[in-house]
Amino acid sequence: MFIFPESIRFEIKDIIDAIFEWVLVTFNDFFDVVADTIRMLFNLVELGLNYFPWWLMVIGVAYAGYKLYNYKMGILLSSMLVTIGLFGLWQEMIYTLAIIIISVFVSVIVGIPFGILMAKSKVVENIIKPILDAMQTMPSFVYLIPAIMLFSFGKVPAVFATTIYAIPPLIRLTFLGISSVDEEVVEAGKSFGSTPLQMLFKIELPQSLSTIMTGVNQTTMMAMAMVVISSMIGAEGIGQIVLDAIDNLEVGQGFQAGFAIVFLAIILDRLLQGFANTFDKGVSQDA
Amino acid sequence: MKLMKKLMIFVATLAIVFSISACGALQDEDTIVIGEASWDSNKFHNQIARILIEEGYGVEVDLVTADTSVMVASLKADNMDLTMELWSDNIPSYQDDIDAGDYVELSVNFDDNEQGLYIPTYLQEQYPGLQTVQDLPDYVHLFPDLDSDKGLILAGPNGWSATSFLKDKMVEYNLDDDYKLKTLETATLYATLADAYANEDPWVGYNWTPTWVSGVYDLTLLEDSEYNEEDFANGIGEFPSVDVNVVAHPDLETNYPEVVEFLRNYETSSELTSSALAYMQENDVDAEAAAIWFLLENEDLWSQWVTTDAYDSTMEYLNAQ
Repeated sequence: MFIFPESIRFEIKDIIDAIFEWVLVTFNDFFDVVADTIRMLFNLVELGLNYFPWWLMVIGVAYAGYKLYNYKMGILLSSMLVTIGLFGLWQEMIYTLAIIIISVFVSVIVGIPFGILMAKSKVVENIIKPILDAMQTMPSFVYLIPAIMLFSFGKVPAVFATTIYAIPPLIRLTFLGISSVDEEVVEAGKSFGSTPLQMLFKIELPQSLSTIMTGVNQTTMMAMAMVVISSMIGAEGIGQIVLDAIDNLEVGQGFQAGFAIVFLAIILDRLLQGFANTFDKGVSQDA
Repeated sequence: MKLMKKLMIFVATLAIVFSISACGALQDEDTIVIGEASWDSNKFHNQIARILIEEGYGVEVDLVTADTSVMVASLKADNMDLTMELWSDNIPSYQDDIDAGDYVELSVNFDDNEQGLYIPTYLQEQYPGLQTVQDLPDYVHLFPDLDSDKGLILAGPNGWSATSFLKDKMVEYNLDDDYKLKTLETATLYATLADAYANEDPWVGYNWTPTWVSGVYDLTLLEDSEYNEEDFANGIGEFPSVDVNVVAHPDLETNYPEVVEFLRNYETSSELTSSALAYMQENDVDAEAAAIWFLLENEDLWSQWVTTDAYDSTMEYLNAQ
């Protein structure tokens, strides 16, 4: 009486299996091209990051911290970076950073246009919003396994899974930023006869830049959170160290690598936030 | 306002304290907590144990999902009472833990299994020369690693003894000149196999029997030199058949001596387990259904494990199914 009757069943798992199998076979070549592109991009970014000696990065972070906040923040952030190196996790950090940079890069390229479309069209908004909800609440393990089948294991499915997980806040905040541009500013633009494109690039985007940068910041933090999970599909980096520590029941090693991730997250968060704040000031001065 | 806040905090604290103590009571008092790993053979043996303990001995059983490492830690911490399928050779601290009395080995569930590096059988048909682990360097072009110019051998998770054995083997056989060993979580390992199998691509990696994977995919074990204990410690030779044990927390014997007596008699085989796994896969049923089928089919076997009373009440339950 209280239990849902067993005779009434409509399950979608077989349908999804069939669709996935079809996609796997039909778009095999396409996914190979995507995988090669991501792999190339990764190697490029990793090469670029390795191009800078470690002390230059430390100085760079210290300087950025000083410029964006004050000298205390500069010292704090750069000493966190040094600590990651002291833990012996520098090379792993570079790998992790490369995955994050590419995921955020892809998120920006794909996310901002979608955010703009959502702000411009009610129909697009109504379609994309529930999709974003699903992307954010779907347990990530669910799409990790198909990601391996599409892209093999390692960095490529890691970028794929990280992007899916990290892109929603950027789309949402772009949408929010564009749709909350002051009505009077838009009116002013119209009365000067600006075309829709001019309106977008000269008025709406600059006005909402600080909100969009907040979105980039949130996306970066989400990507950071995905880094450990993506080590389950064979991605290396700090996440791999954490996973190995879990597999070997090494509490100390787990925490050490865990703290390295925390430090990296704090550095990225503070720098991006400080960077976003500079836009805020710029806009208010112009107005 | 302030009073309201204080009251809220008080109620919240009370709720937390109650729920924690409730959990404790549920787990300790009248249930046996069995650890359940993600693979099907473990789920199958757990269902057999659950049915026999619940129906035969009238003790409630709680199945808790846990990874091998979590299971070992939970057994030690007394958060878990029993595991039906512990691959003790894959746990480096096993003998030390037994000696220290952290948990006790009740019986050997089965010990006639295989482990090692496997390739899909279709691959061996294409390349009949690839028979042994030592042949691998000649076929490195089949298993390219996209991130280096070496080949790729896929291993199980880090922390498994089998994985560190394979790492030793890489060095001893000079396989690391040509190959990289990549450790992967089991789900990831199987996903790569499933992908390779779908496209009939080459694949070489670690696997073991009994597992549903051996039932679904036709795999061939790469041969290796014969096992001997001394060489094995250095990574040379094939995997021996390992003991897969029924292991319990020491307190289980004090609390449920009858159940422990049954568990001490528990013994199956790799073949019996595989037959149940195949039944599951072929009929698309869960472990519980497979366990009921198994108990009905193999009455002679398990009737020797349990007391007459337990046998009668379990039979009654099975016939009602």
